[in-house]
Order: sequence, then structure tokens, then C-alpha cells
Amino acid sequence: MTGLRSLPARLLVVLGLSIIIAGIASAYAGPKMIATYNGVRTPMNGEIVGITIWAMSTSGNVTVKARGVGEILYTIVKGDPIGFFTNASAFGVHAEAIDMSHDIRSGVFFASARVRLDPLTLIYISKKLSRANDSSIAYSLPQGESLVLILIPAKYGEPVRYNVTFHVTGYERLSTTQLIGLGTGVASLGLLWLAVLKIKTRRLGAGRGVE
Amino acid sequence: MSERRPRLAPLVMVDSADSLKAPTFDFMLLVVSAIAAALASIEPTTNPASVADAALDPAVVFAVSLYLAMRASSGLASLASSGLLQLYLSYPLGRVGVALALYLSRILLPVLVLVGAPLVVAAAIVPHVIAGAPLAYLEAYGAYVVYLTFLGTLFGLVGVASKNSGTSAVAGLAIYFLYEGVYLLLNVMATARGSYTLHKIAMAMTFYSVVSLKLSSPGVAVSAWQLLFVPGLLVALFIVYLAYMRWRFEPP
Repeated sequence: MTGLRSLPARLLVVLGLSIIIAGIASAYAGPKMIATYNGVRTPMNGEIVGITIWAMSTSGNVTVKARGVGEILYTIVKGDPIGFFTNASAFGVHAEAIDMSHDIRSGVFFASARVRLDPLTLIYISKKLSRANDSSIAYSLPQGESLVLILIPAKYGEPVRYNVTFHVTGYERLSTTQLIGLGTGVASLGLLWLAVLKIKTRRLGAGRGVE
Repeated sequence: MSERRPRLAPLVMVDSADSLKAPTFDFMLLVVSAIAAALASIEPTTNPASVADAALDPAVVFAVSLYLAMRASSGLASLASSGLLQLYLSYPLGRVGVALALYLSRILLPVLVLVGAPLVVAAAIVPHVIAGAPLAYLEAYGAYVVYLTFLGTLFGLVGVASKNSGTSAVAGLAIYFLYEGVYLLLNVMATARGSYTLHKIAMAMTFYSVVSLKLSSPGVAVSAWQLLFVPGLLVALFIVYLAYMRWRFEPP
């Protein structure tokens, strides 16, 4: 029964040590508040450039600046943006040369692709999607949602350059010092508890010995 | 004077002293909590379900699954082969009572602690996020517990059926990798064929990812069958385990 009796104390020691590890890990590889994603694509006839920014684990402000584009269309998709393109293939929208980048330290997922679609589909989606005012767009993206952008080139066969910046918002954590302090406190409490348990057990054993 | 009925708790306490004994269990606890601590402190998270995912998925889930395959499965088998299970069965609790006590001490209790400790550490890193929606965090915790208890029940059943610790450990691992293999295959096929249905089936196999999606992206439609798949299997396996221990189990 000593196994279960000492479990809370052992648990405190483990929790304390782990919180100290969290403090050290965050000091060396803590979250980045800004993530960037750049690229160049050269769409041929009947092709456009598709970009998705998925706020996987955190919300953030997205800024996209593009050069060589005639028009930027955008929409918001809940959840996995790759699933959006997979579903869109049923309507004659085919993503090619997909480039994916998951920035774990900013909690954001970027993907870009050359998208082939027939002119009628392009006319249809042009009516359905929102239109950016100029060659840039800024959007506040809640956690779990994706911004899907369609860059229609100014001229086919010429490069389309894009620059995406994601600023993490709403994230707050304990500082490294606070984590190490908290971890030390919790681990010390656990050790103290273990020591008290050991003394009690010894006394109990000694008492039984006398009897 | 009325006779007092024997209670489950003493047997659970006695067997937990072995299943949760130091230093083996403590070392495992430290490993999973440290991994969770490091992962949760790297990724910024603003949603309780994302905090749980960052801390547990996939490294901690994998480690706890392997631990359960070794401990739940071979632990129960070695109880049977060493004759200790016969001693437990002599306790006037009935076979179902003993089976329930073993289930609590060998499967449920280790899962609750091994999933709970990393989540406490993750919550300590981002207390503001968790304080904003503590129930959602508990829901995510419950989802991981259900998934890992399902695996633990599977391994436990293998353990009592084989009654050999070596065989049950290998069989438990084989079944685990088979399950993971099917999950991986469904995901690859879903991507290759562009099938959303296959993707949903694969997702349903890891119950916690369905719950996480429901919690972190409320607008995304999650089917009821996806939410019931693993819990349904868990209930079915639990009934099979109790029935096996009640009617079919023969001590070696």
C-alpha cells in the first residue's frame, strides 16, 4: 500500500521536475511570435496560385503581399485547408506542386500550390469569393481557421511573388523564471512530503518492533 | 448483525502497489511529463484542446500505448502465471469484482495518471488559456483517457487470454502496430484518392483527434459515428473482458 500512499508525493516531484524542464525548453526553443513564408510561382495558361494559412494552434494576424498579380481572391475555411483543395478537385480544381511548411514554434501551417482550373470554374469562384482591394491583404485569423487565397496572375508565364507574415496574437505563458521557480517549489514540496512519509513509516516500524 | 460485503477498494490498493510502484512507474511518468513539458513550451497555443494536443500528440500517446502494451498486457499475464491471480480470486469478491479491481489498478489508474500529469504540466505553462475554458481542457483529457483505456483494455484482454507474459507483450505490441498501420494506410489512401470519407474513418480511429477538432474548430462538422467509434469499441471490449474473466478464464 506504500505505492499508492506515496504516489501523490512522487507525482509532485515529477511535476516539479517537468515544469523546470518546460522552463529550460522555452528558454532555448520557445514560441516565435512572428512567422514568415515567401515564394515565387510561375503560373501558365489556365493556372492560378493558391496559398493557405492555417492558424493551427493559435490565433494571429496575417499579412500577405504579392507582386505580379492582377487580382487576389480569398475565403475563410474552418479546419484543414488541404481538405478544402481535396474537395475542390471534384469541381475541376487541381492543385499541383504543393509546398507545405509547418512552423511549430508559431503554431501556423502554410501551403502554396499552382492550381489548374477551367475558365468557367474561375468565373464561378470569382463571384463566390471575397476580393482584396489591392495586391495585399491583412486578416485577423482565429485559431483553427484557414485563410485561403487565390492569386490570379497579371500575365500568364510571368512570376508571381508572395510574402506572408503571421503575427501570433492572444498567446500568454509563464516566463522562464516563473516556470523554474514554480517547478522548484512543487518538486521541493513533493520531496518534503516523501521525507515525512519515510519518517512516519520508520516510526511505525520502530513502534511495532518495541511491541 | 449484518455481514459486511467485501469491498473492491482494498484489492485495488494492493494491486496498485505493484502496478504503480516506484521507480518503474515514476520513471515512465517523468519521461511522458518531460516530453509533454518540452513540446507544450515550444508551440504557442491559445485553445485548451490545442494545449492538450501539443503536449500529448503523438509522442506521449505513443509512449503510454507502449507502456500499456508491456505493463497491462504482460502484467496481467504474469499475475496469472505466477499464481497471484488465483490468490486474488480467493478473495470473496466474485470473479467480476476481481476482474474490475484488476482493470482499475492495471489499466484505468495508470492511464489517468500518465495522461493527467503531462496535462497538469502543460496547464502550468499556459494557465491563462486553461483558466479561460477549463471544461474544454477536461474534455480533451477525457478523450485521451478514453482512447488509451481502449488500447489498454485490448492489451489486458490479450494478457488474460494468453496467460504468458512474453507472448502477451509481443501480441499486445503486434496488435498496437496493426491498429496504427491500418490508421496510417487509411490516411495515405485518403490523400491518394482524395477521399474525405476515408480521412474521417482514420480520424475516428484516434478518438482524441475528433474531440480536439470539435473543441478547437467549432464550425467543422463532426459526425456522431466518429465520436462513438472508439468509445463503442471500448464498451464492447470491456464487456468481453468481464465476460471472459467471469466464464472462460481458467487459471494455468
